[in-house]
Amino acid sequence: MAKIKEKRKKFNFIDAILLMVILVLVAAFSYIGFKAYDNYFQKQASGIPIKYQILVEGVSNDIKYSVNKGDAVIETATLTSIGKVLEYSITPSKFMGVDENGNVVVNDHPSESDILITVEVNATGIGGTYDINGYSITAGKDLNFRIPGLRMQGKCIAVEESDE
Amino acid sequence: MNNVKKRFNIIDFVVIIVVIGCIAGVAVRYNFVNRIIALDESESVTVFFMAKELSPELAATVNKKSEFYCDATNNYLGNPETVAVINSKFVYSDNEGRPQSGINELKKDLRMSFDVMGVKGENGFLLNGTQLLIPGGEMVIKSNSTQLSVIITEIR
Repeated sequence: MAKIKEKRKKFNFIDAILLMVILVLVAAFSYIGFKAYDNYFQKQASGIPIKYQILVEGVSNDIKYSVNKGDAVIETATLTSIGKVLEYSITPSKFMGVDENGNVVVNDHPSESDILITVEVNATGIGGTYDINGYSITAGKDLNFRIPGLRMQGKCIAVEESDE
Repeated sequence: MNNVKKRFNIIDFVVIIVVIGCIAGVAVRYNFVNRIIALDESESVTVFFMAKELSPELAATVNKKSEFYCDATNNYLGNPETVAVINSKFVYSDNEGRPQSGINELKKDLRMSFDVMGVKGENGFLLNGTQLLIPGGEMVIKSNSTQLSVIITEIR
């Protein structure tokens, strides 16, 4: 009678590696799947082109910054991309003085400038409050942002939907 | 006793390919390749800092022999190429309400420059390839005897 050898399969090192690899693959494909699911619905919901303005007041003339059309704008706390510079203007800050008669006199500040940056981006939302890649923007909101040539705190002073 | 000779089979091959693929995926995801290449593209720039309204005693502790580091990242800045201590200025309103520049003799502004290595990228200058420096940004730098909150005024 042939001795039937029962080959007992033991769980070995190769099986452990294989199992780990399968788990990693399942996790990776799940992540990619969920991400694609979210992106699909975001794309369905997004598509509102908006423009908003950031006002940065009192920038010292000691700072040699640069602003360029097309600069990517990044919110520094969340590192969220919140649009691209459409246009900008730099004007002397206003200085409010008082003359000897107590009258308020407004002149240009000798060493500070205001920067007004208009940013364009696609966002979701309606009625003045918009969501840009998870970051909420509305008129009046303070934001810390950076572009390649400047890092500052400013205030969003206006948001509107673009005509295009 | 049976000697089971282990042969390299198709399953082992698939496992190795998948493991290599996972490692490559992580490298691409975290941009390791570009970071390694970027360090080879380092160039020297001059970064200008300003610390405003310091006490004269504190400003006097800084000189060209001071060796500075970035407080948050420990990135090495080295000895400043230039150090200038000037009286702080302030703006006041004259009798006609117009702005006039005055000198604050109680406070000093400190201006320094450092020659550093880094990578110029689309987001700005990366000190040592790791720390983003942009004009207008604020940071803390430190030496053995001093810690200063500074503003980056220029990168040239």
